[in-house]
Amino acid sequence: MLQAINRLQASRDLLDHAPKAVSRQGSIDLRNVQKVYPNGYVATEDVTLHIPGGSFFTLLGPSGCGKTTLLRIIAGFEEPSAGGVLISGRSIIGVPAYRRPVNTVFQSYVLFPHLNVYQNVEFGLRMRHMKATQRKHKVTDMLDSMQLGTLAKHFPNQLSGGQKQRVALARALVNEPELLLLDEPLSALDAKLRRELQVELLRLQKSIGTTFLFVTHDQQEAMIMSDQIGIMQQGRLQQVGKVHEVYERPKNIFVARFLGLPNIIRRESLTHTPTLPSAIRHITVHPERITFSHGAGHAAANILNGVVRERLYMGAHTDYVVAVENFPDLLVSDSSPNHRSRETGSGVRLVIQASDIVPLEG
Amino acid sequence: MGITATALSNDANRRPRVRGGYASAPGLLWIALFLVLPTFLFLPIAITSTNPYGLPALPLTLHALRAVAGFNFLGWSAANIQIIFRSLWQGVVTTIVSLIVAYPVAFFIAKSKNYIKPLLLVLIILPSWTNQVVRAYAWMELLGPNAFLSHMAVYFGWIDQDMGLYPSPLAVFIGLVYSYLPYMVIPIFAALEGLDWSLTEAAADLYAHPLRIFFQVILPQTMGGVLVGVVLVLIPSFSNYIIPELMGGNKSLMLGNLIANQFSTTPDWPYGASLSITLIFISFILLAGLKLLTKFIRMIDGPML
Repeated sequence: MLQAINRLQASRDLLDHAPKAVSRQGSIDLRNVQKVYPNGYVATEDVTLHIPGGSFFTLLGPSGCGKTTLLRIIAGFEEPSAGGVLISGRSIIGVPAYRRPVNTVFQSYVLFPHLNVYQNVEFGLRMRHMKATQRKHKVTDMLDSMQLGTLAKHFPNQLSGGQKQRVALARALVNEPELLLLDEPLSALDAKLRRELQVELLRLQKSIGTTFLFVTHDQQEAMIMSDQIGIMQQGRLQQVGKVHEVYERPKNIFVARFLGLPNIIRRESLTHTPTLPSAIRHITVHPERITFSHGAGHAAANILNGVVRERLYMGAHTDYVVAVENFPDLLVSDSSPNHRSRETGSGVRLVIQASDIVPLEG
Repeated sequence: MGITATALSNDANRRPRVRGGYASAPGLLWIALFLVLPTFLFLPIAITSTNPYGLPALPLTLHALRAVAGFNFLGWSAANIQIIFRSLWQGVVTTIVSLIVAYPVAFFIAKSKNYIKPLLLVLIILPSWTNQVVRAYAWMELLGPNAFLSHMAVYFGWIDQDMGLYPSPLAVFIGLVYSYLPYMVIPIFAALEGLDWSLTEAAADLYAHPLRIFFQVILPQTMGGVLVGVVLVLIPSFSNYIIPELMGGNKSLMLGNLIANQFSTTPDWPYGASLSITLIFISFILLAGLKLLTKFIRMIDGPML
């Protein structure tokens, strides 16, 4: 599976260098999008975002952060209170949902219960008045490529969660949309199936080249699948960028916490830091960047003395929770050959290089 | 797979059905004593001869049943067949009009704010707390020759000068639709309440404009409620006799009125019993037909025949 992901990573890198004209098809531009409900609740506040065509973009955030609202605005189920929305460079404000070149995979699938699998997949083509022979051809092809051929005559209540998920995907993709919206489509599935479908989805997206806008609250899922991620909180985009950029350089405390980076340290606790703007009050260091010292002689590094509080053996590496005076507990991830060797209660010296320090806003 | 699904649903239904059997025993007893038993009494009465007072007498004969089919001492006449078809027509038109009127009403109520729904439902049901005869008289006033509606109809040239909208076949249909509308609204409302409205979003997402969303998604999903409404309106309006009696102006005899006559004005119990059996038989066929129809409609949730 890792190999598959690596291969996909390679093809993703190729896509990054795709010419601009190509990436315009299926691109999304949100310009100062705001959504305020009549009761005064602000779902999204001034969101501006460009998603290049053909990419896999994930909106990541806790529930209630406004990511689903953004998706619904793009799909046409809700109108923004202010701001502009463009798909493939064309404004879609005021265009009803049924005329948008967009299809959605819903969180709870929302398959038509009175139609069988074949009829569900056929629905969009039928609504667009495609000729019967052409329709049959397309639906059959789509069912086969999704391994749903044998289930064509089944009704939704006879399908398993994973099968429903594939039908929902087939029903959307058969229309060859410029843009596919996915609203936490994997959240109802168990972990193993979920992992499989993540890889399947990613492979599919790369092979058809449609823009995927994926919404999830699972940061691991977001990191595995996306070309770019946008992290949202309380209706605002906190940070947008390539997955590794966001992970390596989280912009603020919220992003760092949400991506599972626990070491949030007050700036003045460390003596050796890179030159930082004066507004920065907190910094973080990735657990895998903190090392254990075996002797003296670290000139421009921070040396901290601490005690191992907990040892969390993870197989490929070991996480240590280290208590250091005047610091919050630090998480140190060790993947060196003897990573399991430190006992709970033993004293350790930690080394934090100035170059590994990431400043955090807020 | 279809068999498995049916087996499963049967399994799920079995237990509550048994428990419900005990609880509904008093009701069943009541129905058996005062509805089923008297109805079965019609069977022997239908094959008796008539005494001079119109009451059943010996010897047994098929005379009354033959009379229903149109045979009497003057030979065969199509009068009864016409009456039966006229009554069926009365039921079918009432049902179709009720459906067309009731669906938007049910839709409106289902889409209303939750706190206002009970009020709207009560407003729909409230008129049926009044006796049907009283309501018929109210309509007679409203549609009478000197009422506003009749003047309007004269003005537009729909009816002749000094004529009223009542009495007429139109008045009968108005009265019937008015009487049975709640029985159409309530089951459709119940079906709409059980509808997963996100399906309409999914349909819009798949290029269905509002009208097609209604006919492709909402209507099929609520077909169970529609059929329940059709049964509740079709069968009683087919056999109704009060409204045609009061509002039809004695111009066109309906099956219900014909039966009533055999037990009141011109007594002939065996003939009346035979007609009643015919009416029950036709109602049963209608019910069976509608039940068969539900088999062709795949229903997941909501009310069901």
